[in-house]
Amino acid sequence: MKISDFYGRLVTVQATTDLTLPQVTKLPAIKTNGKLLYCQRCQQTFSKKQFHLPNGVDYCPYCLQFGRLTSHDLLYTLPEPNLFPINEQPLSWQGKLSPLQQKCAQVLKEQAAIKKEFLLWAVTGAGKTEIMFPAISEAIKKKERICIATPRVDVCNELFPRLQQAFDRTSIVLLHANSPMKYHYSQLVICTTHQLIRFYHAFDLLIIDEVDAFPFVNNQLLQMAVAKARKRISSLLLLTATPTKQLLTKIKQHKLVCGYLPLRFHGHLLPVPQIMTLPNWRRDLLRCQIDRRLFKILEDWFKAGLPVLIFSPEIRLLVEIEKTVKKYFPHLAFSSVYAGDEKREQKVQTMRREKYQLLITTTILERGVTFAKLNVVILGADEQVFHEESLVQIAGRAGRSLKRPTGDVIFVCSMLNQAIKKAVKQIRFLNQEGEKISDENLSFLSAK
Amino acid sequence: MKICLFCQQNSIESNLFEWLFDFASHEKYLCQTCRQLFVPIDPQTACPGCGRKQSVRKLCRDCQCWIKNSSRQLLNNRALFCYNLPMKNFFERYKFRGDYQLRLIFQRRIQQAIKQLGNKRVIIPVPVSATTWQQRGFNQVEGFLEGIDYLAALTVKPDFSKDSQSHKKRRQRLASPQPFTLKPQLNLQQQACLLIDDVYTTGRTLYHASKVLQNAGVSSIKSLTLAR
Ligand SMILES: [Zn+2]
Ligand SMILES: [Zn+2]
Ligand SMILES: [Zn+2]
Repeated sequence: MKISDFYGRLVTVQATTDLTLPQVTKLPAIKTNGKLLYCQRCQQTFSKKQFHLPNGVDYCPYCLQFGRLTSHDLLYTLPEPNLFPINEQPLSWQGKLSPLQQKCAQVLKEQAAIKKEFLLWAVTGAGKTEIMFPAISEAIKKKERICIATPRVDVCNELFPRLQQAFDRTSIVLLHANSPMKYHYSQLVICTTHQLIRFYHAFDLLIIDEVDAFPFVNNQLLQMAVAKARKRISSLLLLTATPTKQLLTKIKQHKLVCGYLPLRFHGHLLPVPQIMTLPNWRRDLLRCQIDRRLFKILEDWFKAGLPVLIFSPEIRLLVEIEKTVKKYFPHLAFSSVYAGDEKREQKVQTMRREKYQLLITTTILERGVTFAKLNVVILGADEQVFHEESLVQIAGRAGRSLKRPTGDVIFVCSMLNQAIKKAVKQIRFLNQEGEKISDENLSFLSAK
Repeated sequence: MKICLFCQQNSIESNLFEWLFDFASHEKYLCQTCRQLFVPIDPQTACPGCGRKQSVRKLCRDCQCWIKNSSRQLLNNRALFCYNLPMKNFFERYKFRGDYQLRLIFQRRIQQAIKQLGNKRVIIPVPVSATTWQQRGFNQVEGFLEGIDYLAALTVKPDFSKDSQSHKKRRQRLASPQPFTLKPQLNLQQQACLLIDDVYTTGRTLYHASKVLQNAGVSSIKSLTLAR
């Protein structure tokens, strides 16, 4: 074990390990407070009675995936020393930001410098990653330690190579449960929000991408982990395309500063979903039938060579949809993918290489993935799994590429519901805001 | 509202019927979705040797080999659930990660089965080694037996490491030496016993345990495992 492994981290050390670390702080992993226990790693409180083992030791049930902590364990930590090399030109990215993105990037850079909290509401396909580059670059120059955390593993995996390329002289690590990399001390950290549990006042700049995504949203443990992973004086940037009600309330109450970017990087408006009310779509599907209008639309798309995503409200229905598609389009190259699918990664790659023309999926592909020229259908858009945020996210899969900045989105539902109405309203609102923007008038993005 | 112990996500809707009659009380820690992950074994059609789930009651292939290759007696094991992927995952978290609270998921179910099988029998859990017990903090079988009378009659010989066993191939395990001994000063003469273990994999563990009990002069042995 290296001394740098302890910088800004909470590390469990087996009692048998011989470690001579002069300045190291040792914390008992679990503190007892009467009948209650408190875990210093995940900051949860729980009852002694419930989590007492027969051998007389207490354990924490909340952060077991990082190895069980018991009342016999110690956590070792060293303060974050920011031991990073001088780097005057960290950004090796060759691309160019659009004037709009540039404006937005400037705001982020300023916000990151003042060590506070800031929320960026940027529409799907705004090019959030590139917008972060100037802020990150500034921070690297100041020898700050930076983390980009996101609730979604696929988003992590997509971010890592891009960041590695954009900052090719900066040390970087990718951390999640199945990461091919082992932890090492680095200036840039790309990780899942879960991994923050192991950090202790490490980051000068902490960016949370997709704050509204599961499992981060409404998860008190992960939100506390964010607070603990940041330095006491540090900046926190939250990024989202679909802010939750709670975040919007915080903005209204002036507890959170927000900027928003209502236009995509290519300057085109968001595709507005077309609603198709088919009360019997489910029954038809079980009989391997497609509504004529929907069939016609799909046929046109496939003939035009456009890739398509169909979202199913349930994993169970994937088979039925596959059967039906096979019947109507016997020569189509397609597949289906769901959360537990072993070939998930592979199938998404095949779709990206345009070897499939259709991928049938569940909400797992609602965010984080980009396919060029895409059209989208949601079956059962009025069902519970598709709430307002996910409808906006899914609609946002379409029209993301410069080659085809527009796209078609169809919501198939048994009947119109609140979530659909609100999602369409949100998209229309963002488009209105987007329309107001012209090159001369970029002052919309004031940090209110 | 209670949260499901297994997925730690969904809440548990207890229906009134279950609540009134304690009907499926063993499932009160699981949500609707997780309950369906564990496949119960019907004792009427299970393999009479190992308790494996089958469509008709007959000796399974493993058990046929078992009698063919050795003159050993079959164990007449009763297993409650199939050892499928979710069950494997359960043991991964319960035993190896050491989440002791997960014992509650199957505790009631096992104790119900003990009541049916072990009327007046001495309940004997399969032990873990002293090292494992110290590291894990508990014996996973005894966790299921919390609150009922049982006799920890067996111990693992001090020089015998069980952890090294899980890496061995099936054949090597079948040929492995006796890991257990009887605790001193116990008299089990003419007693009927019920051995309890977590999983029936090769049957070797239960075979060794029952051998020790036979040598101690017990009158009959049955065995019960959570999974097969
Ligand atoms: Zn903990
Ligand atoms: Zn559950
Ligand atoms: Zn059998």
